[in-house]
Amino acid sequence: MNWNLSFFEHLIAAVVIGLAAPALSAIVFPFAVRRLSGFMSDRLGPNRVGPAGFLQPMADFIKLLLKEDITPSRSDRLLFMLAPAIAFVTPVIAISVIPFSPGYTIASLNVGLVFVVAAGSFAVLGILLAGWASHNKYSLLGGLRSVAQMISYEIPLIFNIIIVAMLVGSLSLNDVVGAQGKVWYIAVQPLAFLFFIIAGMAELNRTPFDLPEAESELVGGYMTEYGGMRFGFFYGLVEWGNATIWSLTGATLFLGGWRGPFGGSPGWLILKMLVLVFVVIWFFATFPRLQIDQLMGFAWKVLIPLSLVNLGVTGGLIILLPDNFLPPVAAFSWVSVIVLVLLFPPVQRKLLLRKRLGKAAA
Amino acid sequence: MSAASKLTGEAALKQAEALLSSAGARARLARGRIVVTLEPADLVETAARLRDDEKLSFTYLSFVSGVDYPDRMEAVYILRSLEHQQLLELRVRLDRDRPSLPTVSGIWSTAAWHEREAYDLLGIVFEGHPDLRRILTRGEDGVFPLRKDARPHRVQRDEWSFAGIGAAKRLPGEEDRSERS
Amino acid sequence: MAESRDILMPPAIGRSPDPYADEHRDFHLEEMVLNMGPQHPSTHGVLRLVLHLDGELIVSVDPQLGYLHRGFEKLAENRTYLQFFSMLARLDYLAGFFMEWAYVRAIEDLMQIEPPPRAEYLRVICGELNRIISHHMAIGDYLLNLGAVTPVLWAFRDREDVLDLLEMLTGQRMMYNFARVGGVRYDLPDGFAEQCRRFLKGFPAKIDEYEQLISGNEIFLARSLGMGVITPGQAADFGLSGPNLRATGVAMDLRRHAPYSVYPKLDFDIPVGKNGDSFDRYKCRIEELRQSVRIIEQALDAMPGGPVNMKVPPMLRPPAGEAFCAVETGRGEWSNYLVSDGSLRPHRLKLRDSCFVAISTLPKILPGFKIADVVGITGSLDLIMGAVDR
Repeated sequence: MNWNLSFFEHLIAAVVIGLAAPALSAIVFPFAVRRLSGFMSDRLGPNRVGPAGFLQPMADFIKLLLKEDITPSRSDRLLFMLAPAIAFVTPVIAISVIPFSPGYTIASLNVGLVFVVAAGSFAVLGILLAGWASHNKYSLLGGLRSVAQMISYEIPLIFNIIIVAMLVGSLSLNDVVGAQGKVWYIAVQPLAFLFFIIAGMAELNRTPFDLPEAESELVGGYMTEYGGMRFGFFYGLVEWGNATIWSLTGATLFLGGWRGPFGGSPGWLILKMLVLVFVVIWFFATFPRLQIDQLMGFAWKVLIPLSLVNLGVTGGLIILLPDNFLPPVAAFSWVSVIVLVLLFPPVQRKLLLRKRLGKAAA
Repeated sequence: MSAASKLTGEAALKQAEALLSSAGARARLARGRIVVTLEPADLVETAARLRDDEKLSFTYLSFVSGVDYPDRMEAVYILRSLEHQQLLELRVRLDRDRPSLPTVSGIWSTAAWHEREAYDLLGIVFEGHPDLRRILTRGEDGVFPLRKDARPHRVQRDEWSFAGIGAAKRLPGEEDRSERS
Repeated sequence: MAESRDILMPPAIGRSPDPYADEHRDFHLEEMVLNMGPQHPSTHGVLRLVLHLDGELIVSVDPQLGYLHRGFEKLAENRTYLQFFSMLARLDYLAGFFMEWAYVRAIEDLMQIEPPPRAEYLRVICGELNRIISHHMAIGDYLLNLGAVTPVLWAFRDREDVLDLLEMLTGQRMMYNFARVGGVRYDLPDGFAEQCRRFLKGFPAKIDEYEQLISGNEIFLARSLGMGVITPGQAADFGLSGPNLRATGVAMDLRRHAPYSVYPKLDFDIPVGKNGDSFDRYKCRIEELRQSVRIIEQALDAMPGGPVNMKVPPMLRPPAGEAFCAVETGRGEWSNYLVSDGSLRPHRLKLRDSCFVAISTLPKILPGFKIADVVGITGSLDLIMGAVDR
């Protein structure tokens, strides 16, 4: 398939995809969360509005639109109103470099990976502004937590993206998909994929890293003071828009993008994205939340060093065996994943208990 | 807990009697527990002895409270011995108009909050208490709800405040209203 | 944000010194006062904690009580013994039968009457079912505080089965009014024993299911191991009881320690912990669920026939005197100190609650932990404000 579009057709397609993708995800995914986590916790979830509850998100959307728009009296009004819009920038612009099908990318940048990462960094700004402008201690704590967390986890996230870029030898997402003709990179670098998922959960503020909102500690975190459609912006468009972007990036980097049996098409990409979003929801229904020191410790003491090692070894192998580096890289990565999964829990448990009980005794 | 360490009620009573120093203190056995009656002055010393004695070791204070009798006020302490499965009730007779006695929060930490509650509800002043504030109510100064002469009163809406800053006032004629029972 | 301090924030009294003062000497930030509660998603009702924070670190805690104070002790003095009955289950509204049980035992103690044996067995069955629902909520809410959504819903699912049983037995799901002076209200309804046995048979598998989901989870372990450690000495000094005390390794259970009802005839273990941390408190509750199953099974088997209550005068006039009665609830020692002057109304009723004591330990154990641990540790202590504020 190769679509030759005129400029205006291209423009219209770009606007439609850029705005519709986050909006659709904001409507579909919260509903999916509620039904799936309902299934996982042995209950029904919303099933009353429309067939099997499919219209529930529309009902919620209308409710949010009709709610009174409240701005706290001592808040910084301008920033308070601006924050959701700023946070919404990320999903809208980042989607433009994702290759949807063999012939179609909204903006076929040769530094697409850098663009996705740069756009992703924008999300923290909106959240920080929201936390600051609300004039609420819970919001402020949530905002500060999100800055610490998102900046820390961006580093391992980028390391693992770089690993893929090294394997491909290019920063263009089209090339990344093109290089995965024989084998998807999840089979070559499962370690990088694992770290990409972990760091991505933290970037998205999803369980088990949902500390910036942490409803049982910080009430609502940075969105405590938001109500009505502004809350809807954060809860639906920003969070799930970002989740969509992250899943699309993950699917492109590690799962072969639009590739699949019976020829490549956007359908395959969307299917892979849904699988990754399912992982997000699955984690939500399963895990408790980490606390801030454990979260930061995990990023700086575990994720970053291990990602660096992975980066170094992969780079070394590529230099040593420039012609046929995929098998040794895969062997290294698979072995380290297995060792890590087997060793990490008991070691972690022992260290924890020794440290804590020693502190309590002292 | 082994049966060997369990004291019989009589043996425990004897041991407790041996610990009482002054003439005003009495101990008896009632309803499966030792009841010790004390003067306020002896309280701290006796309490420390009851806790530290090896044969009794009342290390666990269940609660501190008070009872407002028509002629007197009594502070009540329930002690448990975790090792010897004994129960002991300390009763301290107080002057109803100015109930005050020394604190035992230095002996059992838990007493600090129970004493705050007894102060809040009954107006018993525990001297030497580190932090004797009201705990459950935000009442008017000098009004202690569990005393038998406390009268219900309605708080004026405007005067009501979050942390008891504004003094609660009674409505006109409210003082005359007798307790409904 | 400092301007809101004047009225809402009482001065921090009795606060402990900053545990990190040395470490952060060159990097000491301004202290923030955070008013957690009474409206907060995880303070279990209306507990209010005034936290003094250094960043996310807790420097001192000042719990403020009384937002649910309904004056139960005063109300008791103004009602006849029976009129006060219906209010009791509103104290610890998640496991109300224990309150009724302690109250009737105090009255029976004053009147020197013994209920018939079948009634004692029925009280034990109802009490242990209450312990199960109490621990369900304790475990579920603790995990919800830590941010896990599924365990609480699983707990609610299985709690529903127990509530059905209790509804069969007492006619009510929460506010039972089941205990009577001299017995209980109803005998076992038809089909109760079968349905109860069916539940007891399937329940241990459900407990294993909770453990599979929770106990081995690395994040849960990271959040609970070594958190909020209480030593056995501290626990006794603070008068903790129930699972919170047993988690420190002290095997104090009033069902054994000061035996009442038919508990001496029943065979059950008292689970104890080792470290006294949040994890041990959780684990003790899980084990107690299993023990409750054993107790109910034995009680159903061993229950003799005969009447379930006895004739007492419609207007109770217990002789003058003081009675002290304690029961082991799911949360610890609940005791009543009942003073009668021989009239129709209690002269004084003191209600002693274990959560009140558990909250009083917070200023001691929380400093040095982080905000996230406030909800974690208070969750593991299993507080219920209805009983604390009375």
